Amino acid sequence: MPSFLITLVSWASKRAGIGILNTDSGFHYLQDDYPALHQLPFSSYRGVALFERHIYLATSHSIRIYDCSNEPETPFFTLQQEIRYFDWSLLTGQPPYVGLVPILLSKKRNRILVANNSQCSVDALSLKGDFVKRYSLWDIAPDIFQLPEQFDLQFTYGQTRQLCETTDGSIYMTVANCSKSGNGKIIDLDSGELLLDGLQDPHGGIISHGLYFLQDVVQGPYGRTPDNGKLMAYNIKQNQKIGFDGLAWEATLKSDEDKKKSNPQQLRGIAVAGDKIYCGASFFGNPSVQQVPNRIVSFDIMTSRQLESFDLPDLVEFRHPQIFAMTLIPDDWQLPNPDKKLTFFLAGKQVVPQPYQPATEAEATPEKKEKKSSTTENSTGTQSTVLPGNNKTVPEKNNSSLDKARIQTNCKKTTNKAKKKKLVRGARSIFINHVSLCYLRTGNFLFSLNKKERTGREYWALRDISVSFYEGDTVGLIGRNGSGKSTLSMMISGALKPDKGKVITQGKVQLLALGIGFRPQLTGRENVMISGSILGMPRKKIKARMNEIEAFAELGDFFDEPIRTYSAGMKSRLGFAVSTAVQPDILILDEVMSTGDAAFRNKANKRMEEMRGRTKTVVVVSHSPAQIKALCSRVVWLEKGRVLMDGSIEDILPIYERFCKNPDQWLTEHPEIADLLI
Amino acid sequence: MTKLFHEIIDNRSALVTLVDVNIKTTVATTRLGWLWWVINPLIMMGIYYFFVHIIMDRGEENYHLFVLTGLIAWQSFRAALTGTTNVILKNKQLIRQIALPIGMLTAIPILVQLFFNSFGIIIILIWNYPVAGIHSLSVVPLLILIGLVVYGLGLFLSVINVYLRDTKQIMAYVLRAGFFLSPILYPASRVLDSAKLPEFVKTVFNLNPMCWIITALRMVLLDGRMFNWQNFFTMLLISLMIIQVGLFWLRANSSRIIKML
Repeated sequence: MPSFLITLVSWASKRAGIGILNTDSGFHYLQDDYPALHQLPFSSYRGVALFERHIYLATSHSIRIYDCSNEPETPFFTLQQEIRYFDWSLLTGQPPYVGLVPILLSKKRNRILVANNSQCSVDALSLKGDFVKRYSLWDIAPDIFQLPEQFDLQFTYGQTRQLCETTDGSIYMTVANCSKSGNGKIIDLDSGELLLDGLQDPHGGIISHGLYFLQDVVQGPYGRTPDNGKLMAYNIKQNQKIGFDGLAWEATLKSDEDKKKSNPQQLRGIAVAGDKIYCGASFFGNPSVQQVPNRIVSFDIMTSRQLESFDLPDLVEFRHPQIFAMTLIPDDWQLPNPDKKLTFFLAGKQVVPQPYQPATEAEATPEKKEKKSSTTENSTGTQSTVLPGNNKTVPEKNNSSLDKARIQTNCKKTTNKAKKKKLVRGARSIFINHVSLCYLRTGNFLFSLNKKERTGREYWALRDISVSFYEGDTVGLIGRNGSGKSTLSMMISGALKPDKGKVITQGKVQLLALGIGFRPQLTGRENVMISGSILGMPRKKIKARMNEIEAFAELGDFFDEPIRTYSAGMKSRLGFAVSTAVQPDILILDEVMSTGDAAFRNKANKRMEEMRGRTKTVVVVSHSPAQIKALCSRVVWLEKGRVLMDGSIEDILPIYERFCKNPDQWLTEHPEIADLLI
Repeated sequence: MTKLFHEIIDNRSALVTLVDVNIKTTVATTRLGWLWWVINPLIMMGIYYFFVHIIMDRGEENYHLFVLTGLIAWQSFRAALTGTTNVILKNKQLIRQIALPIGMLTAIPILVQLFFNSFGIIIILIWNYPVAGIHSLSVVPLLILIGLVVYGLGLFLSVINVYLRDTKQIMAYVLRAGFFLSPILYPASRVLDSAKLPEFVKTVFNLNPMCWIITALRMVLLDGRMFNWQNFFTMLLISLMIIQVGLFWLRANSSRIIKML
């Protein structure tokens, strides 16, 4: 179970401390050795980084280096060194968050990097603490940060909130309040390249699972919103050194509606462990109105769903601790006091922690109210609203022209202001992240003279596809023959593994294949058994449901005859009856709906409706627009192994129909789309 | 190997049904049904008995049972191995659409063949009832050993068969040669005690797993003697090791072969 190191500030008690949270035993260690703070909120503990059993803690004006001590009855963290430089302590009477804020230990560069927001810079120190270099914002990115000509440098010049090292050694800076515009940006430290712009008041910044996570990006003018904080995940561009590729998901912190109003919680501190992302949620206001305790909250990286909450204790000596930064502690560290009791060191002495108000401890964390408040903007920008509860679809009207249909790779369009429509969605059930798949065409004759024929060729059936499907979605995959539809559906079902990228699915996936495993010599009844058990039903359950299947297939006496005597329609009826008796979470239909006579088709459609009610997500693979229209609310259009368009049926199907009439001509008429296919 | 067990447990209902169905379809395709599995070795026995014992005047006493035991053991080995070699290509629909684990599918032809050949073993037991007894139960571990040997080889062959579709043809010749190189029509001692043959030929001859298994089966079924358990466990261990390597090989190749189906 992961443990986290957390820097805490108590505005009410004017104290600052370091704490340890373990997801098993809860918040079990708190050490407060900071002199009482008189200059709140200027002076406090800020960022924290770990390196070889040393703890590098940025206070507002110094870097403290701690060691771990495992001796009993002494504080676990023992101060070894404090690094101070005179201009770190220069108090210039500016608003909060001046001074040092985030700290990063780069093993690759062998440097301590710390953002010094009083000087609008990032300072680099050697691991011993010698000052090496100052990166001023105007040096890093002169075109973004223009140096004023007068005495005009203010905190609104740019505040670095987080430094985040990527796997290839680049360092991303999360900068808020850039050059008076109030805009937040993500900037590459070395090149000064602007990676993401237009963010309001961003905090945090961490990379994991091919995503870049940011916190508390607010819409509207600068200032603290009376709302709970938000966590956002951006896709990171693959195959390129740096950059982002649109918003993957967004999750708003959930707490009980009426309690939240009195104390909205901001997200500060971010860490990843396993497939979860952990954020500190704190209220930065008057603690007397606080109802929801400050806490650490975890989210599932794949589904964006909020998971556990770990409440922080409210102590007499340390009231309402607010989380400032957090970091994951490696598994091999020996931590103090692993049992569930809280150990509390105040100014070097162990103290019995006294809860401030027992009543607040007893209050359960309100977490159950899901979905209601979860507004997740989809990365792929569908324009229809899906209400997860009743599966009704409310398509947005009058959007059939081509330029309004969103082209998948051009992600900036999602954030454009004309369409600030929020989508209410279920949790993500299928996550396809930058997936590519290559078929090797084998040579057919060993002694062929043609070398190409002998060695075989590569053929990329899917090229860098990123799509997410959500619970409650019924998605159609359309495209011409050979566009990669079936390959993609086989990938979702798990039969094929991607060569590049990742496919994550939640729940049991079922590719609905008619008559799978049928043996013509055996009777209908025996074949029901075969097909059902291959599809994953236990034999007992099939026997129990045999009558139901028999009734649905309407075969009469033929049910006990060998199925080689069946007509084609009878066979497909039987196949349909068996296949739909299985109840998966994710259902994939690959060209199956075109069987049987009209009467049976009606029945089949009804059955499909029923199945859609039970399953979370349905993916329909077809090249027929009519079928998709009947079943789906959202369409993903594949062409040559790429996602060409993704949106509502109203937007895309008319274009697709025009495309189908003469694909090559259509592509020459729309060069901007043809470009995507290269 | 634990992963294989998990796969089998997860899909046990599919496994049971597929074995059941394979037995049923083989029976249902012919009029005489399962009787063929009795008739076939008996006819083969008749032919070889006539040819070797009567015409060539070779072979000792009880030569008919001697041939029958060898034939049944070889037949289950041959049929199971051909079945497993083909298993991926034959079940490509199930692998592509349902993502049934290949490791489990490979076991199916083996289980089917062992089921059919247990008929033959029972015939011999009844025929030669004077030596039957409690020790006859030790044919069961021998049959399981055949199954494990085939499974280990099949894991490799079935994957190779996807890359190189000529494997099936090659296997037909290899198995035909194997028929004469295994002690089916003659006792193993004919080779092992021969003064004319050099030592390495004997070693190679002994490397054939069926050589020892057929000899052991004859000991149990015909002479009513117990075979050497130490040899048995050595073979068991080796075949389990081969299976483990085979599973690694299958796993390493599975994503590639699925794409080639």
